[in-house]
Amino acid sequence: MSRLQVTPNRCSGCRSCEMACAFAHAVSEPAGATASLGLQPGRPRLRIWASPGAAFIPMLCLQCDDARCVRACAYGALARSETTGAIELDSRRCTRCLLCTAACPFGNVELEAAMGGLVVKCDLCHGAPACAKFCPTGALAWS
Amino acid sequence: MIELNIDGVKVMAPEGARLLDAARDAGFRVPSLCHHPAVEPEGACRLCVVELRGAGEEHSRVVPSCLEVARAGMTVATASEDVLSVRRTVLELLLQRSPASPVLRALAAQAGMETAAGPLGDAHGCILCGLCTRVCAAAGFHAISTLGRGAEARVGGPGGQPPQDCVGCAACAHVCPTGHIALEESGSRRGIWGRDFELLPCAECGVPTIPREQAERAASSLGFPSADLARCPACNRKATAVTFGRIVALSSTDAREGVKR
Ligand code: SF4
Ligand code: SF4
Ligand code: FES
Repeated sequence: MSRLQVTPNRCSGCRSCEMACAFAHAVSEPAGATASLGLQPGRPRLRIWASPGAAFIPMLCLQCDDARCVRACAYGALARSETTGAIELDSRRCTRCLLCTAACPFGNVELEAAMGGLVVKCDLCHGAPACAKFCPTGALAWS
Repeated sequence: MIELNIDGVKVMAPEGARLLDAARDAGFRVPSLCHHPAVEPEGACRLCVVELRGAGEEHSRVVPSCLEVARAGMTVATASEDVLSVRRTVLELLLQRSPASPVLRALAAQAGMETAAGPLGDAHGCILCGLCTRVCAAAGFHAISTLGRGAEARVGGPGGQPPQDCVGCAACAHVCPTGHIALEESGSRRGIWGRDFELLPCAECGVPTIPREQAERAASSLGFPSADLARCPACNRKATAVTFGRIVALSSTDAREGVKR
């Protein structure tokens, strides 16, 4: 199984990965939107953290072995994909109780408030992470 | 995977899938009210009926598709005359209970029914489908239940009082198909079922997170550290990044050498 390798020392802080993630997870515009643009970029599920005076740190879901988000969800909406190893959120099952957003100790599950209130997290793009594809320095690599 | 026939189209469905999910995944539009993938189906509203003939069976029957498991060789009709007539009867009864409900009126219009113009009454009437109580029970709270019978029946806390076991997660309000459950949110307060909950302020930045009761319950029943639950996702991410930053700084000389080489 491929893994997403993160090498913070290689990160230049260009945030191409955030952009790639936002477009890879584009969502339909909320009902009642005035200008019809079809899809809108989603909330990036990873962030680049600029640590003062030091490196840039790509912050993204660790796909924990014994993941708290999975344990938090009483409805089985969060489960590991056997093919990619990613913990995926099935939004059809989600009741928006938001416990997972509080449960992840690393802040990797969030409410995408602007887009009708979907709860979102990294899904490794179902096995072809857009962030790694667009990372020019190899700080994020899928291999 | 199994193969079945829906409205004359060959459809593949995973073994054990419910007919409603199989039909929807294949792009068919089947209306439903009491079904939510978060919980086991109960077949309470009967709106999701389809006409079904099993492999080798002579006669067809009209069944709730949310309960029925899809089987190989089934022939299914999602909008036959019989289906539409059951669906209309179901909607008529529901509309008697809640004539002003926009959700029911839209479904009735889809089913080709005429609805009385400008009816009065509760626009978000409860249809007693029980989805809220099932979702609450699935989370282990059992705070609300269906009380009384017949025309008097309604959902609420024990004895019609604000439910003491409610933690304010609001899952019930989010799954309710008619929007009956009032959820009031302003700043750091959330009102639901006649109770007033405080949304825990993030220990770092102060933004409101989840209700205190919900966090306490997760800490005690799932063993999550209260300190983690007391921070918002952004502040949890920041705390993690600071730790990672320290580790990277410690090992950066070695690592940079590694990149050069
Ligand atoms: S979302 Fe958080 S708890 Fe869940 S797997 Fe990712 S890092 Fe772990
Ligand atoms: S918000 Fe959705 S995915 Fe998260 S714990 Fe609640 S039901 Fe599960
Ligand atoms: S959705 Fe099947 S009976 Fe209500």
